[in-house]
Amino acid sequence: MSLPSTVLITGMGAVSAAGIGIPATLKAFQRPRREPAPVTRFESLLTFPVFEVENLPAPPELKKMRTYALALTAVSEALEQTGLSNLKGRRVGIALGTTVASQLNDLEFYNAWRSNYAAPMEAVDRFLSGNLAAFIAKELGVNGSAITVVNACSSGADAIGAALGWLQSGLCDMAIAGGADELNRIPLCGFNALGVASAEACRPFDKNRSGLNLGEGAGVMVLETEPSAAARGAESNLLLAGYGSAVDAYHLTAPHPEGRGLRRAIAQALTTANVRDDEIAFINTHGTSTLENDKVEGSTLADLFGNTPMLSTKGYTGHTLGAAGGLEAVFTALGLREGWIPASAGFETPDEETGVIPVREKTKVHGACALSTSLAFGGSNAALVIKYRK
Amino acid sequence: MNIQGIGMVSALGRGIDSLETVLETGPIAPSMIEVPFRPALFPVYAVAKETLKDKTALSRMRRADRFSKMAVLAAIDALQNAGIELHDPARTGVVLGTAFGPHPTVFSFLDDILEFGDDAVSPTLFSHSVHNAAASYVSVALGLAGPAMTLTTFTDPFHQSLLLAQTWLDQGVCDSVLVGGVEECGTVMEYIVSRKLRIADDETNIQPFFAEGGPSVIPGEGAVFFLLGREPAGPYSVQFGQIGSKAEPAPDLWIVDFECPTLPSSAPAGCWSHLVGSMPISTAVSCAAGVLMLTGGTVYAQTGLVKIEDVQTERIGCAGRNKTTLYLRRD
Repeated sequence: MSLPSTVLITGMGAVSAAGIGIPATLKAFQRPRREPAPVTRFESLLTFPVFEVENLPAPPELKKMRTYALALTAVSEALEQTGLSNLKGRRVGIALGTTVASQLNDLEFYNAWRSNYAAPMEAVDRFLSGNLAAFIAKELGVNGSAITVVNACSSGADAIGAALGWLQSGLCDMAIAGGADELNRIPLCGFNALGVASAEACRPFDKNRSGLNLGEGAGVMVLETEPSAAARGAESNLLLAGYGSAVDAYHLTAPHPEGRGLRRAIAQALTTANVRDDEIAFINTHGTSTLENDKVEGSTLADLFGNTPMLSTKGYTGHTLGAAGGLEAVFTALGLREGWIPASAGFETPDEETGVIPVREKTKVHGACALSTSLAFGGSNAALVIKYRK
Repeated sequence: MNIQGIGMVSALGRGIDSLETVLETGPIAPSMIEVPFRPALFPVYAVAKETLKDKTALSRMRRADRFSKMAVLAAIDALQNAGIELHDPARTGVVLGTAFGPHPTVFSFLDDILEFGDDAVSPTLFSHSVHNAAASYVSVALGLAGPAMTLTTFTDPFHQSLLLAQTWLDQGVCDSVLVGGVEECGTVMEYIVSRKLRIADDETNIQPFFAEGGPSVIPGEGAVFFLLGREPAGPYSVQFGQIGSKAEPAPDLWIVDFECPTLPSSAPAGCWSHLVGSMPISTAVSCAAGVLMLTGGTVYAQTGLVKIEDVQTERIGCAGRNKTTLYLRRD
């Protein structure tokens, strides 16, 4: 396998309940206060706790397009770090993952349709005004490839992986990649129906975990080939070094008991990054706090990586679905850059079945490489390897 | 990228032969169905229920929706059409492109919320409303364990899916990739189409190139999958040209989407994707038609802007909406 191009991370943006922007997020990671609460953004009978983003700066035209507003906020932060005022004339691809924004799921529109077999078209027009990647491409005035990846909870990580492929193939010089998703009534009802929503704050990998808390947010990286960055005098110590993806081919909603696809995704990510498993300084896990995910992911990672430090950041953000892979890739890069990872919020009691004990406090990390894993409905598994060049 | 096999499910039936038949004999009439939003019957190129009956292929997905079933049958047929055994299922990927995904399933889930309340919805409907359920079913049905990706764009989902498949093959991530597009019809979407576009009637049908006041459409649904590999195999000896390369020679025939506003160049052009109705994945249908023409050495008659019966073709360009272009060439 020949993958010639070194791909730099020249900008990052993050929006979640942990904070709007990277400085606020890092501050939250040092004070693991967790206050998920019943949803306030829409009415629902369901009262289990969620992680909402408060005070999101959103222009009026995006009032009913919250996923777009989340994405735009993260993209703006990431682009600001690149020092580029605009992207005109550059070969830029956009790859963004989502779940909610890919569906025409407006209850108001659908209820009107059911009642009258006719309905106003505003919700449809909003939906058709561009899917997530097309919307961001239009906002930035770029016309390279633009894809919205809809691989459920691994969408954000897979979007970053797709962008890495484009850059290494020379299809573009720069890519904006990650994921975004808003809290929405559809997944709220759906995850409750599946019996995996917790009535309390989530506890990834804890013996007494009782399910996930939904969240919302966006995590975005600006990826750039080394020659492209060098040509404009930009530098970055952070590299997106490897990506792997593989399916379980087992079940629509349950992971393979032995982590079949996850093992292959990790192996592929390490191979493409040319990194050994003992070079991994820490792992930012998917760690949803559901019984099945944490059992399979935990036991697989324990088998592959032994006592390598690991954490789940979902105790700060909730499960942000299509945004999760993007946010956690950013958090992984931040861990390498800052030299520490936060406590795996919510973890107290070890579970023999998972076989892992995530870090319980802010922990210094040593090493230049880290892994971020994502598992999803449909048996999709994705792994990203990020490097810090000292 | 060598085209090793093609599978297709549409209003024409199941299998690539169904497209070849209609290329030879001409368009079939759409179904005329009753819809609640207008008194007149509504034309649609819908996949017949019988087409989706296959107890063997669908044995592990009795609860799956139509979207997933169309995808799985087309993917299975692409593999069978190639007539080869996959050496390593872990090195075969799946890329599925769609503009609208399984929207009838999403609306059924919304029915549940509205009728039974937030706490009494169907978990099965929810898990099938997620866009990547179909690709998951494809992987399970064929035992494929490589990467599987589902993409959406409104403009040309098949084009973007093919581009991703190309990077996987070029970079050695996979030895073969099943890449396809899937779209489904449903009453709500038919209503939206009727509000947004001009609907053709069953007698005039869709008329490519004759678009006074803009093209008229008849919604279609279906799935088209291509098995692609780095090595030639299967019945076609046709390759996709390198996407994004400026070195591709000019085609001697263009196949255009019937909604394509302008012809790409002065080369002869025809349109055949409308034979299965209007779909955002029409480029996949155009490419399937192009492969059949390159393989058979026949350019089928086209009643349209130009006469192309006498064209000898070695290279075909497939132009989609939003000025996307794919190239096919004889190996």
